[in-house]
Amino acid sequence: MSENNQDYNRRDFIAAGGSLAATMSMMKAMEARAQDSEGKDAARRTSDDTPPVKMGLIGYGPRGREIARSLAQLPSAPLVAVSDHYGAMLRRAKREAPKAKGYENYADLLKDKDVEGVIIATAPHEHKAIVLEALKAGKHVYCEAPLAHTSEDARAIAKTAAATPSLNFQSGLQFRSEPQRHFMFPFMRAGAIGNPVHARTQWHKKTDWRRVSPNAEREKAINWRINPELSPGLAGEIGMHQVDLVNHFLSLKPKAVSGFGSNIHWRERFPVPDTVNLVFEYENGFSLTQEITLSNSFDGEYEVMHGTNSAVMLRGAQAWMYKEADAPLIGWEVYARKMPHYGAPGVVLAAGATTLSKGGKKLYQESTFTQPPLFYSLEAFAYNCHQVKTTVKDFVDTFGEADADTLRDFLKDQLGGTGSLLPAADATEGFVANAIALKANEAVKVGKRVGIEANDLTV
Amino acid sequence: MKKISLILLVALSLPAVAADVYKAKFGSKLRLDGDSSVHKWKAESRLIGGSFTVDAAALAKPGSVSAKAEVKIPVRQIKSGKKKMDEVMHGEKCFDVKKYPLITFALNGLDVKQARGSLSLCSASGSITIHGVTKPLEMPVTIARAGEKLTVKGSTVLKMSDFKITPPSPQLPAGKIVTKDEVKITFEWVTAK
Repeated sequence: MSENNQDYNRRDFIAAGGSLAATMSMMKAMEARAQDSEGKDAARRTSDDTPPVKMGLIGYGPRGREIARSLAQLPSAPLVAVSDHYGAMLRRAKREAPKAKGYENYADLLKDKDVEGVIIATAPHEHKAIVLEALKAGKHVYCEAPLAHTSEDARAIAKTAAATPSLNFQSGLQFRSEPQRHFMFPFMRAGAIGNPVHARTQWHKKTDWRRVSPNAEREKAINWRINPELSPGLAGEIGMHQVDLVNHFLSLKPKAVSGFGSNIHWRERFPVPDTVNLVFEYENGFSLTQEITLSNSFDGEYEVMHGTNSAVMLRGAQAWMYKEADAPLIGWEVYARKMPHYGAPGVVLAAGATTLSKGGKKLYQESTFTQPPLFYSLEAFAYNCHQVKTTVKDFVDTFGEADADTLRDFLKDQLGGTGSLLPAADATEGFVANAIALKANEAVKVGKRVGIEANDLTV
Repeated sequence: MKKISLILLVALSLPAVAADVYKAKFGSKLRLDGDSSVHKWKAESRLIGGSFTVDAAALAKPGSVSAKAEVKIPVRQIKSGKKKMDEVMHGEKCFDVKKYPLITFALNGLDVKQARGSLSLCSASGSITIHGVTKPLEMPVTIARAGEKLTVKGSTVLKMSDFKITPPSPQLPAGKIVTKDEVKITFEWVTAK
């Protein structure tokens, strides 16, 4: 189900006055999701018959290995090549992914004609050079988030990707592809929470950012996160996914961010903050606060959006809605499952789960989307690569070669208009989230309020 | 002198044809609408290729027009927005896109029934090939002339079974979906010189 098909506009909802029509569209959305999740293997959205797109992986560090494990479960994205310039990692790749060819140099992987798409899992400051070469080599590109450690690099990536519409570019904002969060999108855009007032996100995990290696040069290379010159900070490495989600759901862009950071627990291990607090300001008075710490794990991670009618909390593969006593009845929530959470009964909003009756029976099915967000993000990448590849071929066969603008317009019309893509973040969305995160990191560094201008978010 | 007179006679006896070739351009739309035991369905594409050879001036008055057209539609670009439905629709038991990647229509007759300003209401006849099966087809079309551009709009209803396609009936946990045989095809084909 594409985003297109469920792009319920908040203005439309208000215009309808929370009417029967709006209620019915929400119910339709819920039922559609239930139908989508049916089948023998609903943990993924593609099937064993989905045409495969052969993948190359650049970088076999911890993130690269996580990617390889996800790809191993996706018949639509066979891993055919791995590149890592560190010998130990390349040998590990050969052991763990024996069918994939190994390359010490990513440039050699890009020359491999068997590779159709590349997934870039190196340090952010290395992304730009690799992305630009990969696109030049005619490969579809998945670039881990953040796209880059500077706005200039991220902008260069987004510009080049936009100028190459015949290739699918996806930025690694994995929540954009995750079914639970995607399921929530129409509810949020339809104004289910009323007027947005405030949002809060949290990421708590006790973990050491310093990585060790027997090789001093290698250790320096893999510790970019704790290098103040190269690190996008907690805001860029972690927080940007949650901030992007709130901005995407509520269709907002911040105008300023204030930040505070300190390192209390890991100060002997690394010089960048292990805990940050951020406040994002928006034009309409809405605000978003974010807490991130590497020093305590209590209460994990979640996002919660407060509105005048209700609050919606997302935590992992689950979500709940808490209505205010004076909020108008929407309709569908009467039939939805309630579950106590945070001391109050919340309406369960779960992708692939429903209590709607079908054929006289009242069904309830728990969500079957049990894989991590990365898995769904890679699934979307492979599927969308195939869609772009075949559509470009049919376009060229029909009309001949075209300039980038014509091809971009056509692809937007054909793939967007027919709802042919799985939800995923494109290069511009990756750039905007990246630029906001870098502003947040700057606010933490200077300990002051940092303005975010329209130009800062323009490719 | 005799030779010149003969050439002149032959030339005068031929109809004054100034046919131009209009090639398919980006901006076309195709839509299939159908029904099933569960709900109505639709599938769409923006990709209609081919070319249209016609004297555009002749479209401005009623009568038979000398015209040819070869229309090509890549079947795999016809999509419903639902992956599972597309897999069924494109699969071996339905359109079988691997074996029959294109729907084609060859125009061999065009009658202008009415002409109003830049619009011509016509009857188009030719042969359509779907799933490797070719059938004659006659349908009303509207042709709009705008400078170097000709836009052909029309719709017709076909039966899947006429083209040896068994209407899909996918099995769901709640039962089988039964798809109706009739499919309405609506199109807007944009061409330009």
